[in-house]
Amino acid sequence: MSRSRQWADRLRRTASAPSAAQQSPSPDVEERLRWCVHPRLYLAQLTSGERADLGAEPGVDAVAEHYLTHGAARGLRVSAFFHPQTYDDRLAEHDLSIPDGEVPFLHWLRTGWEHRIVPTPLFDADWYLEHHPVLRTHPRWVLHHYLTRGCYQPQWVPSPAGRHHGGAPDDEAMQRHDPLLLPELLHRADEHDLRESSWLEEGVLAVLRKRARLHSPALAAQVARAAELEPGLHAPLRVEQPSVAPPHAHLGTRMARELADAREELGLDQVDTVVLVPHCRMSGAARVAGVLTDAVSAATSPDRVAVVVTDLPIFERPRLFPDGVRVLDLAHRLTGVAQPVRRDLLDSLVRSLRPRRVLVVNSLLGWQLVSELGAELSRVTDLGAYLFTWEVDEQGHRYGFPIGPLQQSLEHLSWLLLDSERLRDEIVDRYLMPSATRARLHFLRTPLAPSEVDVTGVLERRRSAGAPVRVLWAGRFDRQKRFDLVVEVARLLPDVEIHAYGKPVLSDVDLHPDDLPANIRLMGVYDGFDTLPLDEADLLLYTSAWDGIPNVVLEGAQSGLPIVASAVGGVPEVITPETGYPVTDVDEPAAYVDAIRTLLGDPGGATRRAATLRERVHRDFTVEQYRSAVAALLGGGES
Amino acid sequence: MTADVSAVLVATGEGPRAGIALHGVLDAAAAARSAGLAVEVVVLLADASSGTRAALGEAAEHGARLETIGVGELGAARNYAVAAATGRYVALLDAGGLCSANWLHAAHAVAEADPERTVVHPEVHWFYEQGRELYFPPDQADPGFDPAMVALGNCWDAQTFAAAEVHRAVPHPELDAGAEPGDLDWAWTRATLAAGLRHRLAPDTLSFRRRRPRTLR
Amino acid sequence: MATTTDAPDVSLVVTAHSETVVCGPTMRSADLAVAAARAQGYEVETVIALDVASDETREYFDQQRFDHWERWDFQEADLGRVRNAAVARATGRYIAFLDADDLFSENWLAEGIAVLDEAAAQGRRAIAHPELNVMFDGGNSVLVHIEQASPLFTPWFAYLRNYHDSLCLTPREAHLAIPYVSRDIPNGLSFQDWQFSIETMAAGWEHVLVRDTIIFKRRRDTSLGQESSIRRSIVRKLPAMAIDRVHDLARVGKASETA
Repeated sequence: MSRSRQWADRLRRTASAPSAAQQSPSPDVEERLRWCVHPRLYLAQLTSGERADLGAEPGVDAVAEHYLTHGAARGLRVSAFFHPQTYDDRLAEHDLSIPDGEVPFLHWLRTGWEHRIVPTPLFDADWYLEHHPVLRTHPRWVLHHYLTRGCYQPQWVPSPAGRHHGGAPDDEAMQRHDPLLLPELLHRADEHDLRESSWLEEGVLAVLRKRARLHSPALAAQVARAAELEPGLHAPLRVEQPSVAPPHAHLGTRMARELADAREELGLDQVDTVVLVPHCRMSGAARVAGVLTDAVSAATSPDRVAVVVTDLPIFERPRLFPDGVRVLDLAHRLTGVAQPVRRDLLDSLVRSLRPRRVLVVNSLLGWQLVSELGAELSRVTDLGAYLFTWEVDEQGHRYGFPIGPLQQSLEHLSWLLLDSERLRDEIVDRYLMPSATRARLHFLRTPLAPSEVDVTGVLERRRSAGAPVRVLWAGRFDRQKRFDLVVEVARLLPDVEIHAYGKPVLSDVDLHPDDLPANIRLMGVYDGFDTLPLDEADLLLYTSAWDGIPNVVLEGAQSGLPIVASAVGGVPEVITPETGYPVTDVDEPAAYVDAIRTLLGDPGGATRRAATLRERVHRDFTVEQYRSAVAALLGGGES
Repeated sequence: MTADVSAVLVATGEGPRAGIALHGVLDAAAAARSAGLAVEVVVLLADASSGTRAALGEAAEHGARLETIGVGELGAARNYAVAAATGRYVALLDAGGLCSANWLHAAHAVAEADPERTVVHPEVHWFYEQGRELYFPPDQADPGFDPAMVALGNCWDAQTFAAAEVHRAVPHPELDAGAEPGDLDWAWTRATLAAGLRHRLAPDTLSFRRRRPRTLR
Repeated sequence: MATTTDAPDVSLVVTAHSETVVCGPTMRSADLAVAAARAQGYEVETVIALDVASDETREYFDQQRFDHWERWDFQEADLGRVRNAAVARATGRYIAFLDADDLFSENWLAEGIAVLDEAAAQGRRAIAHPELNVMFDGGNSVLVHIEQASPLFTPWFAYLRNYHDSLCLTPREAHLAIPYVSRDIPNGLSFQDWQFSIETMAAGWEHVLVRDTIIFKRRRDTSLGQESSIRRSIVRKLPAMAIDRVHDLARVGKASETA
């Protein structure tokens, strides 16, 4: 029996009051319950043990079942849009009451719904219809629209007390059954009995009471008198915009608490350095953010550094950051909050930490902070940013941090760090930079993680043993990485096996495994380059359309693998005709094929190039050099 | 003679509607006088446009004292208004709005409880031209009120009633030309909280204005 | 076609006030356009007009790499007046202005001079505009220039919008005869251009376009709203825009009576 069938049966047993026992349970009621279940609100009322039993993210069915089995009897609330007192009051207006022993919410699903009783102060059906006239043709009760759509999309304003949330869209809210107003509803949850009410509902009731005050004789008389002086007041009251009554419904209230909680979570009163990162998942930028943080904390002290996650509440690879450095997930505290409040909150947080410097490493909110508030912020702290590469859109136009945001931020930045000399030269040249500005640009070679892997000579051994030629390719299956070129190369070299590691991170390419040539094998994700079977490959192929100095090329170089690589961005700073096989005609599959054939045609020469390369990267891309460069920079910044 | 209350109407480029604002102040002053208060009405022309000057040209004949300065920046004008006032309390009003007739004596009654620390606001802000809406400023004593919130958005405007001493202790910031409407009120709100003042509401009073400043949210 | 007189064919005037590194792309595009014009045999005078320049701006343009540009200092604090002052000092037959954050297409000067010379040879008094103005940075859009001879041209449209952007190629005598009005706040810069455009048309100048040329204009602030309605009301007060005269505005080859 399916899970939803199970709880539907339970609903029949639980919902039926003695008097209603003979009635057959309506499938409508099951459907209504489903529309109303809000897992996050329900979980907030459970003990931690109960939450653990339910799992991290139980679906609607699991929560509905738990509610019917346990929660209903305990008076827990499963829906943000059921406020027991409001239902009681409004039911009384219909000369109805809840029979003894019946759960109020289930009574509403069965009976209140039929009477079109709105059981919450958060929704006003007349207001909703008047302000969204398109809903006049809605086939059902308008509350149904709000429950199933309106509460998940920011444009639907449910009440004269406003939209009840920060105004930012959340594309997955509907799928998660997370109404946009939940952060407001759960604000100061410790001060409210969530079974009965919440910060949000108390606030909305306060607004409604204040609006009702306008009908008091004293205020009505004052309004009438003023309208004698100024008929433009449009008395009597006819208000088109929602009313606001702080502290409720004032975004600043929730944000002030989020800020205080964030500071507490961080556990540091003051730091020297704040590193702003967008999130932390598989990417070269996340790795650089980690090594930069490591170098900064080595130069100062781990408890003088705070890493702040600003854009997405994702921190998948904590190992990239050094132990002992505090990481603050600000992104999850900004849920539902629109601009410019997000930016202002980050500004307040940064200022409250009184850092000497703020370093932006691919954080969109961080770049926005610098470009829009950098003039003021740079008076109290040094601002720095890390640049990797620009991006290229489908029309071939360059965009990204080195284009627009850099231009708007440049005058506020004390330093600009770059992982490629090529990009530095390009920027200096583009802006015809004077030496004083140029001096703020610092090229740093991203250090390699220490690795003892050495596959020098494997190519020669495999060739003389007559093993089938095997090419390694590793990366994200994104448009940038040009996997389409790999496919063409495979078609042109049917005798060569290509082992491709990685997974699509951005969903901007179509990849159908069935359409691939037989000599490409998709090997799945990998955790660290040195975990790959490097001694079973002849060479590394790299095909990106644009990049800085890519990590995968450096790691390949470090291992001693011969490399064929597109000569884009910073790649030629590493892969030269002395150290590998750069491909300048980067869009041309035949050029890669030529390079691979040249490489295979002279295993001894390829091995010598790879050995030279291995030696150079071990010499030039060290943690020690990086740390001392960063330390020098920080020293300079403080002088 | 020292007045109990100076009601100062600050006028810049409002034009004819400044006459309505003056009418409102005169009515409120009359109501306060019948409640036993000594009230002076001051009209401050702050770099006023010719239309505004024309609208308020006969203010003196209605019993108002006319002051003129060449500065139109609102913070400076408000500070001048406080300096020019002789009353123990100062009610600051902009010529673009209208106060309810009970404003002066109702606000006075609230301020009297703690004159040195109180800033009084109307119970209701009624915005009537662009985006008609109601706004209810908070009473600082509301248990939900968190002073930290004003770092992220303003909640009080500066058309207030407070002791002249209070205004002198926390002068209005004088902002440069790039400031947006409402920035001045917001900056003053933050300064008053930092100075430990208390924002209170006068029940049954209203302020009518044409639109809500962007920063008041 | 190079002329035989001593005067340069064109004076290119870049006006700067507080811009710094944002001028990098501007100056590179200007240098390319100058090189292309010189390659056609034209003589080009290159001028950076610094108007009450900030220290950073002065420092930026003091770089040795700009030594092949003349640097003229002004204290006008007004784009219209600094342009007038630069025209008075410039020696070229034609004047091309470039604002410090905008860009030329490489062919703009060479093609523009050719079009103006050809018009002059036919006895027409012409002011040249690029075929396209491409707005970038804050919002992207393209303005397609409508020349006066086009059937799409109607003088009444000039009540609503300025037909002709100020980054044009103009015979020096036109600037001398019709200087920019100084900024009358809050009328703003666009109004100076607008008035120049109307008054030159009224004086019988023909605004023509130069095929395949582009000026790229950086747009940071798009909040024009109220300000532009004030401008419109002022445009209506220009004699040439009077309701009984506007019909004759910009009839090619005829100066309207009000000129």
